[in-house]
Amino acid sequence: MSKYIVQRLVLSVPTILGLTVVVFFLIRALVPVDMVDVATSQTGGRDLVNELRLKQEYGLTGSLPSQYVRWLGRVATGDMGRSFFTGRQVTEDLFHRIPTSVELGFGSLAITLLFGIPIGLLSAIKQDSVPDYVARGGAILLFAVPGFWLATLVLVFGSMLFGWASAIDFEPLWVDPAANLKQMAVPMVLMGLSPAGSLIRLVRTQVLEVIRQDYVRTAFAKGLAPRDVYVRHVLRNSMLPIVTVVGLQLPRLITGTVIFEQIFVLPGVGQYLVEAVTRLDIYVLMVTNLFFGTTLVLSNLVVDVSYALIDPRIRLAGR
Amino acid sequence: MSYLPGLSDRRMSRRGVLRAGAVAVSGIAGAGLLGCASRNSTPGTSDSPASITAGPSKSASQETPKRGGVLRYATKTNADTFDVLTSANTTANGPAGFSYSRLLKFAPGDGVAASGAVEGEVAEKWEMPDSSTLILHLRKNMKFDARPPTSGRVLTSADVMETLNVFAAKSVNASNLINKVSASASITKWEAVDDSTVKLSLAFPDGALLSFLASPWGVWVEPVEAMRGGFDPKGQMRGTGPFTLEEFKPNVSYKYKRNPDWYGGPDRPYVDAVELSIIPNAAQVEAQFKAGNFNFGGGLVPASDIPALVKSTPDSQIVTTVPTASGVWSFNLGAADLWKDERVRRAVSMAFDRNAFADVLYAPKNLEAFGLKTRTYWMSPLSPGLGAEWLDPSGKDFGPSGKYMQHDIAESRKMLAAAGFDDKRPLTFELDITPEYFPDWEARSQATQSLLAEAGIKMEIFNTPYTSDFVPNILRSKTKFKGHKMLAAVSPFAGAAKSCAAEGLSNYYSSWGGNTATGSNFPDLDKLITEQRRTLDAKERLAKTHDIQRYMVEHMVVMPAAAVIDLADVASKKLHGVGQWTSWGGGFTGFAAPAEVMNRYWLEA
Repeated sequence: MSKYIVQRLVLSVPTILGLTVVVFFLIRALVPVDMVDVATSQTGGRDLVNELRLKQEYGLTGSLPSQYVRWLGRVATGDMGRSFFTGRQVTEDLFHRIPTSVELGFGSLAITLLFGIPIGLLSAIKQDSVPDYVARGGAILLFAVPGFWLATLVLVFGSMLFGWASAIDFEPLWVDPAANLKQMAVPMVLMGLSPAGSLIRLVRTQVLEVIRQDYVRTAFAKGLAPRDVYVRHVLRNSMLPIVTVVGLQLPRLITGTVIFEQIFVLPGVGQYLVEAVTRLDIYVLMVTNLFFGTTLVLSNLVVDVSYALIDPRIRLAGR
Repeated sequence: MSYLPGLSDRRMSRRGVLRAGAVAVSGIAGAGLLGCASRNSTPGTSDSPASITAGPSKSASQETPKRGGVLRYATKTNADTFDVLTSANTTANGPAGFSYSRLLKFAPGDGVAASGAVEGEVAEKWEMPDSSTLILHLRKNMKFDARPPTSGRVLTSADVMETLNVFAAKSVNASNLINKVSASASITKWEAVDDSTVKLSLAFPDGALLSFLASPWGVWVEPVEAMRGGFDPKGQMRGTGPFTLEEFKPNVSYKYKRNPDWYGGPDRPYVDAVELSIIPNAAQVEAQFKAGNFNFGGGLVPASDIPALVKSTPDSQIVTTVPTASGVWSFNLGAADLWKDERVRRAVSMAFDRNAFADVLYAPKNLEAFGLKTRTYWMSPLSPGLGAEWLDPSGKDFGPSGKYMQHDIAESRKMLAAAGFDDKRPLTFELDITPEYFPDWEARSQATQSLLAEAGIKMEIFNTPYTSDFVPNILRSKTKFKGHKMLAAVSPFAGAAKSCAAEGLSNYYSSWGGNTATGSNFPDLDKLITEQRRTLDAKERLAKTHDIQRYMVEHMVVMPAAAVIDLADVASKKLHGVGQWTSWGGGFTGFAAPAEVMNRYWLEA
C-alpha cells in the first residue's frame, strides 16, 4: 500500500507541472490582455513609465516562455509570486483563506452525507412506500433547486418573516468556535442540501442492487438483526460507487463555495479565485490552480486507497 | 453579434418599455444629477403608510448633533492594499478617505448640493504669488495616528514632500498633477520652505490645480514612516483622517474608530465608530438592514427595492443625494466610416428619449409615492454631479445645439435619410456595454434599443467583458475599437464626477487622455480643453467649460446617453445628517465622504 501511495505521489508531480503550463499559456494566449493596463484604466490617466516599472517588478516583461521559466525558477526557491493587486505573496493570501473554504466545504459534505446516506438507505429499504416516494420527490427537489437561489430565499424570507439576518462578522474556528459555527451553520446546510438530493438517489440505487443479492437473503435467513444486515452488509457493499462520486466532488467542495462565500460574507478561496480570474491576476491564478490541481490529485489518491479499505478484495496495483 | 440571442431582436413598444419599467433593474450608479438636497418634502401621500417619512421630519440643521453610536453599513470593495499612493487600482481610496487626508478638500453642501468650493485640509491656507507658484501653508496641529510608529506626532512638510515624491514616481494618478508624467499636468517641482510650508512650481497657469489637489483620486498624505519602513503601508494605516483603522478582515469587514485628535474635532466625528461589512450581495445587505444590524444602506440597495424595504422596516426612511456616475456613448470613429457623419450621430441622439429612459430605469413614481419630489436631469457630456460646471442640455442657456438632445423622431429620421438610411436600409450598429460599470446593463441597453427602434434604428447589444475586451479593445483604443463589428460603445466617461470638469475633460475627452473617447478626431476640442485648464479666473473658466459642452453636443463628439433622478438610499430614522450633508461629486459613500460629510452624521441614542 505505501509503495503504491509513493508511486502515485511521484507521478503527480509532472501532472501538476503540466497543469501550470496549460493554465499559464492558456490564459495568456487566449486572453492576451495587458494586466497592468486593465488595472490602471480605472483612473483615466496614463503613465507609461510607471506601467513599465510595474510590469518589470512583477515579471511581466519578455516572451511568455521566459516569463513562465522565471516564475518556475522562483517557485523552486519558495517564492510562488505576488498578487499584482495586493502586492502580497499569493501563498500568504491563499493559506489565510483555505481553512474557511475547507471548513465550509467539508461541513457541507458532512450535511450531504448525513442526509443522503440514511435517507437513501431508508428509501431503498421501504421501496415503493410513502417514505420512498417522499424521499425520491424530495431528492429531486433538492437537486433541482440551485443552492445559491435557496440561500437568497432564506435570506429574504428570513428577514421578512422573522427579522433574522445571518451573522456576518467572521471569526476563524480556532479563535471563536461558537461565533464561527453560528455563521457557518446556515451556508453549510444550504450548500450540502443540493448534492444530498443526488446522493439520496445514488444510495438508493446502489442499495437496491445489493439488497437483492443472495448473501443478503442468507444474512436475514441466519437471523441477523435487520440493522446489522443493512448497515454492515448492504451499505458497506454499496459504498464503492458512492465513495467514487463523493471523492471526485472533493475539490469542488472548495472551489464551489464562491457564491456562498459572497452571500454569507465568508473570506474563502472561491472569492479570491473569482477576483483573480476577473482581473487576470496571473500569479494568483497560477498558484491557486496549482493548489487545486494538487488537491484533485490527492483526493483521487484518497479515493483509490479507500477502495482497498472498504473492500479488502481489491488489490491496489504494485502491492 | 449579439451576446443575448433573442433579446436583441425583441422590440418593445414605448408602452411596453414603460411597463417594463416596473421590473427594470435599477442601477444606483446611474448618471449624475444636480439634486436639490433639501429634504423638506411632504410626508407620504394617502396611498403610503403613515409611519414612513421621506427624509428628516424637520430641517436637520436645527437639530443638535449628539456624540456616540456606531455607523454600520456595507461596501462591495475589498481593499487590495492600504497604500493609496502606490495602489494599482482604486480599492485603497475608500479606506484612505477614512484615515488619511488630502492637501485640500471640497466643502460639503448643507441642505444643498456641494458647490465644488475648495477648502483646506492638510494645507490650512494657500497663496499664489504668481501664476506659476502655489504656496501651501500646512496646519500646525494636525496629528498622525497615536499608535506607533507615528505616535501622535504632528504632520510636517517632510511628510508632504515624501508623499509627493512617491506619488510622482508610483501613483497611477500622477498624470493629473505631475508635469514630468504628463505635459497636460502642471506641477514641475515641490520643495519644503520650512516645517509647515511647501512650495509647488508650475509649468503653466493651472486654473484646476486646487480641485486636483482636493481630488480623492489625488494626493493622500502618508507619514514618512510609511516610506521609510516604519510600518507596512500596504497592511496598516497611520493617518490624520477623522477615523483610524482598527481592524481589517479581508472580504469581511473594516472597523474604524473615531480619531479624537482629528483637526476637525473636538466634537466631530460624532459617531464613535464605523463598521463597514464587505458584502457584494444586495439581498444580504437588505436582510441586515431589516434586522437592524445596519443603520444605512451604503448605496448597495437597488433603487427598485428601496420603497418595499422602507415600507417593511420600522423606523426607516428614504434619503436622497446627488448621484455620481454617468454614461456617454463613445463612437468607433477611428475604425468605422459610419459615425464620421455628424448627422448620423445627431440623429441617434435625437431618437433617444431621455425622459422615458429615466422613467424605465429609476421609476421615479416609486419615490414620489413617498412624498419625494424628483426631477429628471440629463447629463451633458459632463455629469450634473459637477454642479455649476454642468450645463443643463434641456435648459435655455445651452443654446441652439441643445436641440440635438431633444427627442424628435421626425427630425432624426430626416437626418438619417439625408445620410442615406431609411427603412429599407436602416442604421444598424452594435452597442458594447460592460456590466462592470453598468450592473443594470440589460435594462439600460434594452430600453435604449426599444427607444431607438422608433426612429427605425437597429441596435444590437453586446455584453462586453470588462477585462478581456472592454478595456483593451474599447476603453484604451482611442476610438479605434478592435474586434467589434462596429460601432458605438457605452463607457463611464466623464460624467464620472471626479474632482472637477477639467479632470474629466482631460482624461476622457482629450486626445492625450488615458481613456479618451475622442481620440485625435477633434483637435479643436483639444484646444478648448487646454484653454479651459489654463484659465485662472473662475468665472471665465466656468464659461469655457460651458462652451466645451455646447461644442461637444453641437458636433455630438460623444452622445450623452443618460438621464437620472436623485440617488436614493435607505437609512434608519435614528441616523441624522445623511442626505442633509452632500459631498462634491455626489453619492453617499464616495472616497471623500468620511472627511467631507460622514464626520457630520450622528446617531440618536
